[in-house]
Amino acid sequence: MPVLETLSHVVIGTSMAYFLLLMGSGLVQLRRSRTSLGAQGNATYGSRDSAAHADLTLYFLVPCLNEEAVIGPTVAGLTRLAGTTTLVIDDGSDDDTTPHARAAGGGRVQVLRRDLPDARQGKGEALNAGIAWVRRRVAERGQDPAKVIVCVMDADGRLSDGALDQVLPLFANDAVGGVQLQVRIRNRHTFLTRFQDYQFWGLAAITQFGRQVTGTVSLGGNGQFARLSALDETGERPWSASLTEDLDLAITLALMGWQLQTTPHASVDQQAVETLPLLLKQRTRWYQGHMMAIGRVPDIWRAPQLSNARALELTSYCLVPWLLDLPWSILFHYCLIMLAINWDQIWVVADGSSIALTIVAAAFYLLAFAPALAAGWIYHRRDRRFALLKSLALANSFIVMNYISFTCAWKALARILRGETTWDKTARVREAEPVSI
Amino acid sequence: MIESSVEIVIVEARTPPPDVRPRLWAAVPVAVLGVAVLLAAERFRHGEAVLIARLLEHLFSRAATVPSAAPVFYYESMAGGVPVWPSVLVTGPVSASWFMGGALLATALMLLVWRRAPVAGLLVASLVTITILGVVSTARTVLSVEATARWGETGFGWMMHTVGGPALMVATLCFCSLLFTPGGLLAVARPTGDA
Repeated sequence: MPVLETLSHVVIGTSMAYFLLLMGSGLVQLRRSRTSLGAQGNATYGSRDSAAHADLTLYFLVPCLNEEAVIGPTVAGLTRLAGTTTLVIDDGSDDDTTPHARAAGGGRVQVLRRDLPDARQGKGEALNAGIAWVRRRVAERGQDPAKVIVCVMDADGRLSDGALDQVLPLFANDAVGGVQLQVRIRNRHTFLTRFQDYQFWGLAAITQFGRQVTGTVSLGGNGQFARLSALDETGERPWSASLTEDLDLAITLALMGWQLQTTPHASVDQQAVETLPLLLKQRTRWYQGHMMAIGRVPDIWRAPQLSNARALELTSYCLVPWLLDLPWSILFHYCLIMLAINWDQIWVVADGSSIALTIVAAAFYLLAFAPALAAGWIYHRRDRRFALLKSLALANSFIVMNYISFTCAWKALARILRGETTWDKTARVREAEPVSI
Repeated sequence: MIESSVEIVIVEARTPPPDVRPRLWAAVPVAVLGVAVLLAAERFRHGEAVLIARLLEHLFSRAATVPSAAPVFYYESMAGGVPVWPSVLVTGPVSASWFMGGALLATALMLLVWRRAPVAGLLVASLVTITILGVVSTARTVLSVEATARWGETGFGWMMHTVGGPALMVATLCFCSLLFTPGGLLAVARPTGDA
């Protein structure tokens, strides 16, 4: 079927180009800043104090819904950072989230309690309530919104030690409206959680470094820093009702001309989901939010203050699930079927020689798995404590783990078509002791 | 001092919406050409057969001919010291028609939706990438035939079904995507006229 064969070539070719552009750009950015891939590889989190910034004031927003399992260490880590205010937004919890937060932070933590019917309307609404609180405080204190930074932290999130010394100076550039930190998974002791760390730490972080070139670093829900004046420009409610309110905010800020940056010298660690059903649920929600961002593409194309490079990068990011993930979930199986049907051709090529057969098999493997091998090598270099062979094996598992992406993308599409937009939040894991690698 | 009673009101100048007609005039013929390539696939493949035959003659001094309107070419080879004339049917999977027709349709779409880049830039970038696709696809078939003539079915398999086939076309598409991006998508259209 020439159409399917052509489409397969096109999807593989353009995916390869996208991968090379983003990963290559990320590696180039690291080289330009004379930073090794291993920067932050063995960082520690939430364990040290830091001094207040001379010019900037920082407010942490920690939205919570039944987070008693994890909120204590998070608040303890944040409240030891001088020159900051920590606000826990208890979004109608029916556990001991607030008592745990107060116990950890004492007088240094503020708690904004929300009750039904206002509570439990999504993370975006909780953050909007938090930002209203921050705006009142900023007004009371006579602070300049351009010099106030708001940081969204998940209830299980911890900043790397010294993170603020790396992040806050980025806001010295008045054009910077937001900074997103790379994500490290804390509980990476199983295959499933280790694979999530590979995706965040090995792949996503490098592509985010690449987006520094266009200033369109994507915002995530944890370790998300934004200038208050930039948030004010978006309106009363910066975080939308979108399932991925962070991506929506990133697009809005970029449309307004704000630069979105990151740094390889700081990171945030968080929990990964530990069971497959929970992972499928989480990723389906993310896919749905990501796919629905396609609605912002016309705004991106029309925005006169966006350069072509920024518009192209944002557009590509919004279209990836539609043009690459969904088609590939079908074409991948077509390619497998074709390989099986034409298996005898490989014997013909090898002409009965076992050496030739080995070479052909190796050539096909390298062709098909080259990006995965590159990513596996990068993951090893990001944290050399994880052995190279293990990293390469982990990267090779994408052939199976892709089925998680395929499943979640199609489930998300089904939900979009059915108009289903409500979700339960990700469940947390209680951590009894520090996790060893 | 005399105070003026005239109130000066500054009205923000609005940029007129870009005229999309130049883009439509460019997109329609490109789209028509793309559809024509796809619909007239057999005739296109016949043209490829003729081109491949000519290239075999001029590059490898190998006699080749296309005797009919079918997309089939015959080339001279030797089998046990005896000249033979194997035939090759240019089928859909090895034809450049799908790549080139698809690329033309994609260009037409880009002309209409990606109004940030000038029409001329998109057309030139498209022409370059389509040419590359055509050249590589043709070269793939020419080299496959030559490999077959020299090394038999094994040579054909190496060129068409392994190295020459999937790897070459994927690499070419990747290269074309990377080339099209700066040349076609990142160039900036003038604010008026060429939208």
